[in-house]
Parts: sequence; structure tokens; C-alpha cells
Amino acid sequence: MVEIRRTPAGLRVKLGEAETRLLTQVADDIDELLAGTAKDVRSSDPLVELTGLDVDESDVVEVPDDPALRRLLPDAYRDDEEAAADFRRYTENTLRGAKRADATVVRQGLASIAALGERVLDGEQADAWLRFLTDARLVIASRLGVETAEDLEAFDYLSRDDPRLMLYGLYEWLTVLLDELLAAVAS
Amino acid sequence: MSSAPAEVERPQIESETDVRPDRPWVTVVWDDPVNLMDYVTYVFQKLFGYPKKKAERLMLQVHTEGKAAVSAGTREQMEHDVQRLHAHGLWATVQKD
Repeated sequence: MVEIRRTPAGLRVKLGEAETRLLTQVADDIDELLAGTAKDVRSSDPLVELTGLDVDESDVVEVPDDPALRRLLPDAYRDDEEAAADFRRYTENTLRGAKRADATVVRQGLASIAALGERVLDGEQADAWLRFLTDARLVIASRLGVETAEDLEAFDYLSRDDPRLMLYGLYEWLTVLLDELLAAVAS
Repeated sequence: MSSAPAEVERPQIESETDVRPDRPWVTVVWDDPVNLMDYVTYVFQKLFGYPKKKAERLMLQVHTEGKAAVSAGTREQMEHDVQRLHAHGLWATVQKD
């Protein structure tokens, strides 16, 4: 059960118990993926806290090996490796943090839904949900090996014993959720 | 991009990019099979303050041509735009116009 409605107080999201558990698991997974090789040490560095400076002078921030992570944290320059590496060194940690903050907003919302059956989201929280659902779909599409629209269409014809069926089902469900949330935000 | 079906008007052939010499860099958004068309339109409206029609035109340009220049300005401004687009899950790069 998914129900998203605009109310005077904001967007009211209702999810069933199973859906709440499932989406919480997805949020945990995405957060873990983003935390992976992030240098958490830096976030507790007092100089970083004081200056808000997101720079590691000592070394290069490597392009992630994992294609899903590479899609969430893409190169900002296509034909200039040096500029791409510089951009990554200065911004990747911030981007990871922003995406993890979105996952946290979603997890907090889900905790309310688990306890009370629903949660009303303000505009910023709704945007965090939109971004999070987008990131989750990008990660799952990458895990499914989707690179083109044709790849994606082929999943509509999976046989019933195909091991990828469950993951594709999750992808489709997240698409429905994103679509409904988007429609409610725009209404 | 993938479609949740939507009514959209035909793309018009016109340059969205201001090419004055003081705006020598552009932010390019690339097509991907995952992002929903309505979401991409929403992001263009929200981040750049574009009217819905312009946002839809740019979204369709990304979808049909594989890419579109969505903003122009200084290199620093474009890097800022790219960072915001990445935060929204769009695939964007900076390049010299």
C-alpha cells in the first residue's frame, strides 16, 4: 500500500509495514554504499569543521571502482582527466554527504511511518525523498547492468525464474513511488 | 530517460545557450535510461528557475539528442551547477562552449 497526498501541512506519505521495511533496507544499503570508502576521519577534523573546507591536500580522491557508485558520483569533465580529478578532490566528499543526508531524511520519515502509519513531509524533505529514490533507482539499474533504454525494456520480458526478477521488481516499485511523489509535489 | 507518459509539446529548434564572451562555459546534461522525464523537468525548474516550458524543452533535447546545454556562465558557476545536478542524480559535465 502506497498513498501520497498533498495536505495543507505538506505531503502525507502512508506505506504498509512490508513496504516501510523494504524501503528502510534500501536506504540502509544506499547509505552504506556511499559511506564505503568515504574518509569519515575528515568530517571530525576540527579544521574541516571550522573552515567547512572539503579538501584533502595529501592525496587524490580515486574514481570509484563500483559502476553504481561511479554513476552517483560522476566525473564533472568528460575529456579532461586532470580537471575531473581536481573537481572530485574538492567536491566528492560533500556530494557523498549530501546524498547520505537525503538517505537519513528518508530513514527518519520511515521510522515515523513505522510508528504512526504516516508521515507529513515538508518541501525540503519531499525533495530529499525524490533525490533518494532517484539515487536508489540509479544504483539498482547499474546492478542490473542497464546502460541503454533497450537494456531496460528487455527486463519486461524476463522469464519467471530469472534471478534478476526480484531486483527488477524493486526497481519498478521505486519508479512508481517516485512518480507518485513527483505528481504530489507538482500538484 | 525513461518515460512516465506525459503530454509535452514539440521541441523547438533554437539555441538555449547564451554565447556572449563573458559566458564561455556551459553545463551539459547527458541522457540516461533511468531518470524519469518529469523528474528531469522538475529539477531544471527548481535548480535554474526555468519556466516549465523551457525546462521541458531542455529535457526533451536531452532525451532526443542525447545531451543539452542547460546553463552558461563562468567556469566556477558551471561547476556549482554540475555539483547541484549530481546531487539530484543527473549526469552532468562542465565544458568550454
